[in-house]
Order: sequence, then structure tokens, then C-alpha cells
Amino acid sequence: MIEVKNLTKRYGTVLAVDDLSFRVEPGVVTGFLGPNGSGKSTTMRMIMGLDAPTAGTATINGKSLREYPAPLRKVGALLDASNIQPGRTARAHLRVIAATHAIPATRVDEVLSMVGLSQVAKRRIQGFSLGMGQRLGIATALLGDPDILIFDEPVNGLDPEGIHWIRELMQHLASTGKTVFVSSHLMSEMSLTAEQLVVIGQGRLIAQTSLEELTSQAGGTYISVRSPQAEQLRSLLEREGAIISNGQSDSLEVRKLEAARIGELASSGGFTLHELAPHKASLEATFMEMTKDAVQYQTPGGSQ
Amino acid sequence: MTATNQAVDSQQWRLSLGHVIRSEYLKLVTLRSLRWTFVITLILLVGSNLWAAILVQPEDDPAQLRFVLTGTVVAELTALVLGVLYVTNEYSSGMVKLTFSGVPRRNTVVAAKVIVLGVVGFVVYAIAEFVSFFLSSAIVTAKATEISFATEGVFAALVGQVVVLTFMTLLGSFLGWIFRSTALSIVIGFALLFLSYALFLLSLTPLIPQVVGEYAPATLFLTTLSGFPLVPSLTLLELSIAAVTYLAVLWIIAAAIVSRRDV
Repeated sequence: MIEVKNLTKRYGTVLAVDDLSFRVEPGVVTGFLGPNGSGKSTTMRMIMGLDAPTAGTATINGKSLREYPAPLRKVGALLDASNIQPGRTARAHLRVIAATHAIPATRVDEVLSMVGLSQVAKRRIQGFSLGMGQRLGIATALLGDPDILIFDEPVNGLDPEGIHWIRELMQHLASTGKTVFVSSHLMSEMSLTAEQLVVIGQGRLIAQTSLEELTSQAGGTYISVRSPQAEQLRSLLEREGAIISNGQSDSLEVRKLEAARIGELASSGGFTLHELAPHKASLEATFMEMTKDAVQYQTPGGSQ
Repeated sequence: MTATNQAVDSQQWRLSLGHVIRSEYLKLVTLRSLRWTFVITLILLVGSNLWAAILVQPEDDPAQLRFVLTGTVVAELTALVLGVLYVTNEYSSGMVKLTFSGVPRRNTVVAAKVIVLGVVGFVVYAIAEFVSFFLSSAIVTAKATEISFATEGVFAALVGQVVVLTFMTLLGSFLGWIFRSTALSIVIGFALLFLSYALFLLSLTPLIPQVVGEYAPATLFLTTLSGFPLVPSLTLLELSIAAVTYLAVLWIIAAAIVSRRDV
């Protein structure tokens, strides 16, 4: 478990992280969401002991990383995939890291295979694409088979197949009981990967919630119905227990009733339907609404 | 259970200096730019000695010839650059973040780099220094006067030169830790050497006490073993003690800065 308590980081006059507190539990993927410049990377660096907090603590199972006898075995992190000396081969890079913890060469080959880089293991990293570098960074994080994994924007530079792969990887790792903490500024990405969310803006905690709660907060799912007899249909559906909102002239937003049931009721009542379409709540819109006051770099009308 | 878990669990494994040394050694031998800097240093070392031997004339003072063969000032400068690059490469690439994530006790990394660079540097410089003396002495002996390891002062001068080159490399690495930037570290390294040399020259005048110039590090190393005629000769032991003292002070400064500073 990762625990951040009253964490604050100040760089001169800039307050990058402001009294931030949250917990990341094992067994689920926890998304760390926030706009660009909101303090996500700084927080992750403090968890990894790379930056010293101005105040507060960031601990792993109650201890700082430096207190563990084998840190790589406890926490694996991908903070920035470009943090690599490009003159080395992929295998040599992993061997250098592995050597600090006496991790055998067989494990190096194992993680290269896991991330799909076995074929290019002997190639210099400087010839790698952005996506290949990202995969190598993930391989580095997995090297010590750690209990806790921290990924900072892991899908950057990955192609759709790569994005799908890393989603499945993170979910698989969480399903084995590991703590998976992944940052992103894209709600759409997190909605497909994470179960728990920590949302920050301008270094402050905005929300710690589950994806389910956020979906509910966003209005959940609803069925969009259009009919020239919308008002009569509304009465019928409400009698069946539906909750209807935003009903305007010929359209209804129906909750608590399945699309199939609405269709059956409309058919039996002789109503004409022009549209019967399920809609998912826009988490993206909810996220933007939550963080609209915390966006550091905003274009005119950008948050609309 | 993976191979890693088995290894860790079965041995109650604990991160140690030995393992970090192995990692740092792998860094040194697997990075092309570092290998090339080493090669260039060695070429300059051997090349300058051979060149000096070729230029020797029969009428030259035999007393100075033994020092001509160890005149490796240019190699000393590249040795400093090598030490700087070994550390600043980590900062410029960002690799240092990975290194410190795996080894959060940062002074273990600093110590491992010192040991790797010190031992590898000493061994490689020693081989190069003795091979180059072997070749150069053959040329000088054929042209002017007989010089061998048995000639008085030669062995101590050769070992002393190896100490000086190793000192330069470690000096560069400490500057790298302190300043992080390759360019800044090299400029400050060169500036220190030349400032120190200027101190020595001033110490020959009444402006500053002679002892200040004599024990300024660059003067000590750049001139004593290169046969500079004005500097009083130090014994190998005195030279080594001076080198270790200067490095110890730099090590303490570097360790204090590295352990506190954000990466």
C-alpha cells in the first residue's frame, strides 16, 4: 500500500504539491488523474524518494523506500521512459539495473519477452521508437517482480495494440494482489483501466473515489428516446418505474429502465419511436468539470 | 514464483555495496562513449610518451630523460573528462533516477562509482604507463642513454603517474556529482588545475608563501612527475597521501550534496 500524508512540495515560489493525502490499496489499479502540471509526477518522484518533500510523508507499507533491504523488489517504477542511457543495448540496460539486486540474467530475458522486446534485446536503445522505449521502461519496472508498481503516463507513445497490452498488463498485475498506481491526464484512458481514482489539480486533492462512484456522479447510463408522442410515453415509462430527465419536446432521457423494455412498452402502447439509444455518462466531461479550476495551461474556451 | 523471487527469498537478500559495484562496472564497460574516452586517454598517454622519446636528442640531460617518458599532461586532462562523463552521463540521460530508485541510499552509488573508477582506472593506466615506458625506453636507449626500470627514480615516477591519472579521473567524477553538468564540471576542473598552476607560479615570487604553490593539487601532479625542474620532488608515499586527502575532501562534499539534493 502507498500512503501519502499531508505531502507538500515547494520549488522556490511554486507550490507543486499542496498538503496532499491519499492511499493506494493493493489488488486494484488506481488511476492518478490531473491536468498537465497538477503535480502528479512530482508526487510520484517523492514516493520514489527522488525528491524530498517540503512537508509530509510518502510511504510504502509504512516505510520509506530507502528503508527496504531490496527496494527494487518492493517497488518498480516507470517515471520517464527516456531516463535511459541510449548508447546501451536494451539487454545491457536491464542487466545494469538487475545487477544491483543480483537479479539473474534469466529474469532479464523474461521481462524482455513479457514486453515484446526479445527480438531487439541486442539493439542500441538510441534506435528505439517512443513506444519501444516505453516498453523497455515497463520491463525495467517489472524487473524485480515488485509488490508495488508505479507508472507515470505509461501509454505515451504506444500504438493501439500497445495501449491495449498495457491495460491488460496493469489489470493482470492488480489481479495478482499487487498495488498498481498509474498516472494519466486522460479520463478516457483511466475509465478503461482503473477501478479507483485519485484526482488532483494544482497539487491539491480534488477527489479520491471509485470509477463506479464517479460514473454515478456523472449521471450513470441513460437511454435516449425520441418520439412524436413523448409526453404520453413519458407517463407510461414513469408508471413502470423509469426516472426521466431533460425531457424536451420530442426527446426523453430515461434511467432505471432497459432499452429493450422501453421498446416493448412503446410497441404495446402503439407509440412511434424515432430513436432508442443507450448512452454512457461522459466521465471526460465530469473530470473536466472537476478540474476546471485547476487547469494550469488553458486555451480560451478550452475546458468547454 | 519467478527466478527473481526465488533468488531474493531463499537468501534473505539485502542490497549491498558489492552488487552496486557490479552494476557500476557494467555501466562503465557497456557504454560506448565511456569506452572511447578511455581509449583516447590511453592513446594520448602512450602516444605522447612515444613522441617524447622520438624527439629525444643524444645531447639531452640524462637526468631529465626519465621524466620525459612520463610526461602525460594531456592524458591527465582526458582522464579528468572521463571521470566527469562517467557521472554526468547519468544526469544528462536521466538514468540517475533509475539508479537512485533501485538504490535509494545514494552514497552507496557514489562509493561504488569511486571504487569502480579508481580500481579500473588504476589498472588500465598502470598497464598503459608501463607498456608505453617499455616502448619509449627502447627508443631512448637506442638514441641517447640507457633507461630501464632499474634506473633510479623511474619506477616511482611511473607509479606516481598512474596515481596522478587515477586522481584526475576521480577528481572529474566528484566534480560531476557536485555540478551534474558535463560542460560545467569540465570547465571547473580545468579552471581548478590552471588556477592551481598559477598559484604555484606565484609561490615562486614573494607574493604568496612557497608551500601554498607546492601543495596546490594541480601543481603537485602536473609538474612534479613531469620533470618540471622547479618543484621539489615528492616521494611516492607523500604524493599518494596528498591525492587521497584531496579526494577524501571532495568525496565528503559530493556525498553531502548528492544525498540531500532532488534528482
